[in-house]
Amino acid sequence: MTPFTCALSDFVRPQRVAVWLLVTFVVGFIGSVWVRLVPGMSQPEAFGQIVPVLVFRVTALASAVFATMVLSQEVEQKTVTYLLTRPIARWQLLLARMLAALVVVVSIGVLAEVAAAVTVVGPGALGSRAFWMDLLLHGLGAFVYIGLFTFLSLIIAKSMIWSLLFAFGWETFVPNMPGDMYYLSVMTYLRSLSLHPQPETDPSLLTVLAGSMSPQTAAPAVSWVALIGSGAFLWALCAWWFSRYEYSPREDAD
Amino acid sequence: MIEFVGASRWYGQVIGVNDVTVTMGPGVTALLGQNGAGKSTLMRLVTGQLRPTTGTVRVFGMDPFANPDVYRRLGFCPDIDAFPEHLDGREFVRRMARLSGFADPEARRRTEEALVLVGMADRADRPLKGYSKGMRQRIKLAQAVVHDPDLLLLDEPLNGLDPVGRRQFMDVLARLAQAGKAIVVSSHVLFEVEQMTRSILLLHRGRVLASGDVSEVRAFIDRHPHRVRVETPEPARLASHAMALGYVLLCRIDPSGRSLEVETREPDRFYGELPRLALDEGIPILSFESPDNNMEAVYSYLVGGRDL
Repeated sequence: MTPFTCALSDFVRPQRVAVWLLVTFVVGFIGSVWVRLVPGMSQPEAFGQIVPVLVFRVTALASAVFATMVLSQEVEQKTVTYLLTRPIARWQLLLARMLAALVVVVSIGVLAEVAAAVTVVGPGALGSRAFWMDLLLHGLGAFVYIGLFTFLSLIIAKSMIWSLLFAFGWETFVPNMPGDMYYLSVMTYLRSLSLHPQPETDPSLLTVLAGSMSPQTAAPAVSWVALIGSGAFLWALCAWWFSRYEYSPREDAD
Repeated sequence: MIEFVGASRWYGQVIGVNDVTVTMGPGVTALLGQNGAGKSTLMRLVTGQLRPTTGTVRVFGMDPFANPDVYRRLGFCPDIDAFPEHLDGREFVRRMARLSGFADPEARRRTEEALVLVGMADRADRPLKGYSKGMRQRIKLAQAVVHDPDLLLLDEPLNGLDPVGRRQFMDVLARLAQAGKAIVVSSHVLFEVEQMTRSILLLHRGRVLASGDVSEVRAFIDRHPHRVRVETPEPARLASHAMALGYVLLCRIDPSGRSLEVETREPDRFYGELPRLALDEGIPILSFESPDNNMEAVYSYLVGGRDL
């Protein structure tokens, strides 16, 4: 429990909280502008569009940032030495820190979802099934993203840039690709399980960002298995990898 | 307590330590060598942050790599000057205590004890980023001892300390050694190490050059005769008597005419003879010392004086 609470208190330092509150404010602001700028679109439709375009992206972005803090930031700042020489199994240490990151990312996702729901639809949206399913999907998405991005941070230096490229590049374009490539995107499964009405497919920027140019979605059962299975696999892989390999600061090696 | 058997560690094409076979037991052991000699690599092997490329490393009879059972009994003060800068010193040490498995009240109690030990109890509430180098070194030591380990590894703990800070730090180490801790301390500052211990492990380019008591190590260096400097108002007369002793190789009178330097392969016999010369021959002896009986000389001899 101590590694979890220590990591959590590091992750929610006041400056960081302020930044992420600002992000959720921006999501709410964009939502309020969005619903006014798209003529003829109902509020639930607008909400359904803004969730994959913006709100799920916040979860991906926050996952990239906080997954980097799980370990690679400690390695870069060389403070990982203090953690590695404490009587805690490495896998426990890493999973506790990943769990702290998960709690923070889900909290940010929930705040962004609430901001979008209230500004686009109004407080009534908070009682809809689509809203509550979105909250669950934030949790699942964060579970997979943190597993993936933490693993990237375990195997490559400066992993945040690759994580951000995945979150905003891969997750934007792969769901739109023809063929079966869309199965390789986390966003595909989140979108498939979302209870919002699917927007019409047209080649506008919004549909590209929403990953909905391609009409394919994965079956719900496949989506649940893919998200839970890949997340569990990635978390287990991270724990195994971190227990097996060295993470000593390089610069001061003799 | 610590056992290396044929242990080598490579970083790609660069060697960290090379075929090290050595054991370290209780007491204070100094790990001595220049920058790049392999001291930090050796420390990281002992603390299980690295694995040996070949050979084995055992600490308390166990493989130390990522081994919590070893870390329960081991405290490590790294050479890196890195902290979670947003924390204050007390909170940092308390966190380390909590991560060592202590419940919060016990962690707080141990934190206070550790801070008192290193002389930081009244200054530990300031953020770490505002600490002087000496304060940071003390806090590093506090986090290393907070769980009362049997074995303490200190990597270059005196770096950046002012003379007063060094003296105080060495006093703390002496107290810990008196309390029965096994301490391994690395340094490239020979003079300071010499004040902490006589037991050394000398590293050079990744290899163990010598280990043991500094005077024992010195005794093995028979290609370099021991020097004894005798302060006397009659160096010439003393030299004539000394040269009559078969085991004295050379006498050198100081230009000031106030001392004599004797070179011999059997210093103990010479020390035994010196009182007789003083009494029987009436030669005043004001003082005598061996310039070789220090770590600087041992180090210089062993590396051939090339790399000092």
